[in-house]
Amino acid sequence: MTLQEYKKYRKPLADVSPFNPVSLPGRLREAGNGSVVKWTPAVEVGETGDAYKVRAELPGMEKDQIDVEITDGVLTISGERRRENTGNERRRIAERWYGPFAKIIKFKGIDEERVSASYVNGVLEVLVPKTEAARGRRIDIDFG
Amino acid sequence: MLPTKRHRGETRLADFDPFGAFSLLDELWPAHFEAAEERPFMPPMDVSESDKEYMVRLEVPGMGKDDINIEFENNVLTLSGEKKTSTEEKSEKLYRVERRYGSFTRSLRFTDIDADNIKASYKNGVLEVTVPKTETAKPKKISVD
Repeated sequence: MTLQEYKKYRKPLADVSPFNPVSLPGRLREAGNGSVVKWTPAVEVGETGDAYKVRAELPGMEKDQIDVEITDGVLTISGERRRENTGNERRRIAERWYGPFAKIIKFKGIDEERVSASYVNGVLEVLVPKTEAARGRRIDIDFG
Repeated sequence: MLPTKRHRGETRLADFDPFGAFSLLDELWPAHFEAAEERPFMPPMDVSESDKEYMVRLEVPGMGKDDINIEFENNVLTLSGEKKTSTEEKSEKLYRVERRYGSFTRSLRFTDIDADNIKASYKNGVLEVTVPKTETAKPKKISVD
């Protein structure tokens, strides 16, 4: 494989590779327990007239292992995924990510008091309602 | 190991060198000339082995049980299905889509498997398939007199 081919091949993988921790705010890079963010879940953000819906793929977790926090328009989804196997299993294929994860999405014009979340079939859905004033006008979203 | 004809995405599991990790290159190589959007959708999978069984765990969040097919034929376990976008809100405008959708197939070749007792469950977006070994494949304890 030539270098050019290699680059072409590697490039798309960057989309699914874990966060560069440098791009994260300090509090996440060094989470409370000193853990470093290792991966970031795939998300999609949908918008309707009165709310945003953030859906994050977090298979293999329990509800109480996922933290959803909103401060100053910044939605932070974080937690830690642990391996299911507990006994003396030997790993033969390991493609899944484990360890601490985080995803940060910044909104404007949202009603923080009314943000709610649910977790079904490995997908976390966060409902982020817009403020009265923001309904019907376009709002910028920053991804981090 | 001599190259053998096999389906795309199929990974040989049981006939690898027990002292070395077997290779997944057969899955990665065919994709390396293709653009990201042309690469097949391949949900991440873990496979572990204990003395009595293999455990296959495939990440397919947001699916229904009925959208997943599990087949075992000629010692090849095939997990397939179609991951569809949530159709609940057609009026939704999507800003950023990092999730992958579409049909997928993952295959694993085993040897000495008790095919009648393969079990599967789907919980929290993970498909878990238990593939028991046959008696002959299980390690035997030999006592020293």
